[in-house]
Amino acid sequence: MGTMQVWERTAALLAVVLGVLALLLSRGLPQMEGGYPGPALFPSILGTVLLLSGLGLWWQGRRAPARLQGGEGRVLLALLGLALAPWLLGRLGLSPTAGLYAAAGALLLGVRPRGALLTGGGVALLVYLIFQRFLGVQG
Amino acid sequence: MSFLSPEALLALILGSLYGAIFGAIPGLTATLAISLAIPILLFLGPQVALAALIGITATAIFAGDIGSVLVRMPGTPASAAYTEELHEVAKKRSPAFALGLSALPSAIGSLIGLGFLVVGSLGLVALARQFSSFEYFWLVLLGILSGILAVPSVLKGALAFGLGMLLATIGYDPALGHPRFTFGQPSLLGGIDFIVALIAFFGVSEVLHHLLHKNRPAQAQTEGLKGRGIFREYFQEAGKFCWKERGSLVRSSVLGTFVGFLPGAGSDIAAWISSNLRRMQGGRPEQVALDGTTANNAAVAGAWIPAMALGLPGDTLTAILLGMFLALGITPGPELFNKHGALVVQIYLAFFLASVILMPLGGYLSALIVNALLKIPMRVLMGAVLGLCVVGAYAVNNNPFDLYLLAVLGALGFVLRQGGFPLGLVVLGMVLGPLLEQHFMVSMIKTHWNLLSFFERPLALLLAFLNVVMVVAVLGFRRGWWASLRLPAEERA
Repeated sequence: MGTMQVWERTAALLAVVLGVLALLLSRGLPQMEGGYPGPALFPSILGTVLLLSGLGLWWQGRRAPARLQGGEGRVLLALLGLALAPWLLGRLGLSPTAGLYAAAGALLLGVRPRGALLTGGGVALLVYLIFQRFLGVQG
Repeated sequence: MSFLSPEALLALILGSLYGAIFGAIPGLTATLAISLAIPILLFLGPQVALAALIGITATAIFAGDIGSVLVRMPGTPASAAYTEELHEVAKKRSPAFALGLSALPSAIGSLIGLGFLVVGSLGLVALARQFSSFEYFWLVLLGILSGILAVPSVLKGALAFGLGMLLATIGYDPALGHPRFTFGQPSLLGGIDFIVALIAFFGVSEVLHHLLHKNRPAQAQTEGLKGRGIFREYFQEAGKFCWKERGSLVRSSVLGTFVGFLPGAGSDIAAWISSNLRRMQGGRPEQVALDGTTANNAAVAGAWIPAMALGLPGDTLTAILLGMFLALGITPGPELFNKHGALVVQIYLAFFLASVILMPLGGYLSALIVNALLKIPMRVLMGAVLGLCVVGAYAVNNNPFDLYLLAVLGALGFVLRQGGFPLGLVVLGMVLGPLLEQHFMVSMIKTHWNLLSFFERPLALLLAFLNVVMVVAVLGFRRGWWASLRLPAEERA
């Protein structure tokens, strides 16, 4: 229960921030002829919906206990690793990058190094055969 | 190329097998199966891609029962409604009989649902031909409101939908063609690619979820598929039982199709209602399982009725399929029936083949494969999924920028999922949001911002009235309905 509250509040906070951003940024969008609202109309409505629902959720869960679970470090590490994917793709190529992510993911999930290597190798081979040879994906 | 070409038939068979494997393994879902398959299917042309997609969707729900039979863990939420009963049948009688009891009623439910799909979609299309942007606006709004109101927390539903629709506003706007929220990034001018978002929400977030809960035991021991007379138990005995229960089969199929047709409902709700009705009548485990599995498969076809005829998704799976239709350059709705009549017939045919031939015949084969795959640890499978997510997101457009989006949207999907937000509504926001804006802006430009024009045409007025009735009815119904569901849901979390 407590861990769900942490994520619920995080999402609520994210919604508030995104809602405010949408409201602010949509003010810079042009209007239609005659002063009618144009491209800014729906982002403004959505910004308001996100702001209100985010605040509402925050208010609803304000007294519930919230605690972290302990695996957040692994999640953060995986996300930071994912952000490196474009850089790795440019240096290693498609199938080695896929294999690397599969192996790293398996390692983070607790698979032994040999098993992780096998997972990575299997995925790299699969990607090479299906995506690169059969479908002709560049990379 | 037609659906009867060797390539399309092969895609249908492989798609069915692939969907069955993903549906059967607890922890892997039908949405994950489609998310990982789409980057490959995009390269294969509409007929082959749609054949494979129909194969995946038609069999994934049925295959959820394989996990119930083998390891007492439902492969999909739709099978959870009668897992205990089905596993009990497998233990008391034989796994082959339990699989037959799942496969044959699933095929019959799917077939009856297909009948309703053909009649219902053609009827709805005839009606939809009268629609202008005003009617479509109300119709899309109906789909959105019913989706938001169908989840336990309206606030969470609104937030999830709002985020999805906000993501869809990135890129050129439909009214003036002015770029919005692109921050000078050319890769964002065309908007966020729907398929990249799908892989992030259902693939990356799934892996991150497993990373967070790394220490929880997720593996179950399979009991195997032992026993003699497999053919007799799977086909003959299960077939005899189905014939004896033919009345229930028809009733559950009709109920399942109707529930599937309703926006926001889906296979799992159909299965719960149908199996609970049988429990209340004091049904035996075989009967409860039969009613549940018939209804959830009929609901799959039911959800396709508004999706094909009106372009309105009934659940997450059909929302993804609609996105896939659009990615293939096909607009669902009357235009699909007008311009691609042959494709519509081929979709029905593929559904028929998947239901009548692949489900019963492939069911046992899938169970054998799944029985072997269940021995692979889930953490190994999830590692492989992460690698495939990276490839899938890149392969869609050959654009490394999509990998940054994958990380950002994966993080968003993970936070939402952990907080108990319905990810299906984010997808719904991405699919229906742009349609709502487009129909609203077109209507307003046509009438020089006369808001009353939304109530001037009789059909538009009727649909507006339906929106009001639906909101009032659902809000009234929720007061009793969700109050009884909320406690178990929180205990589960």
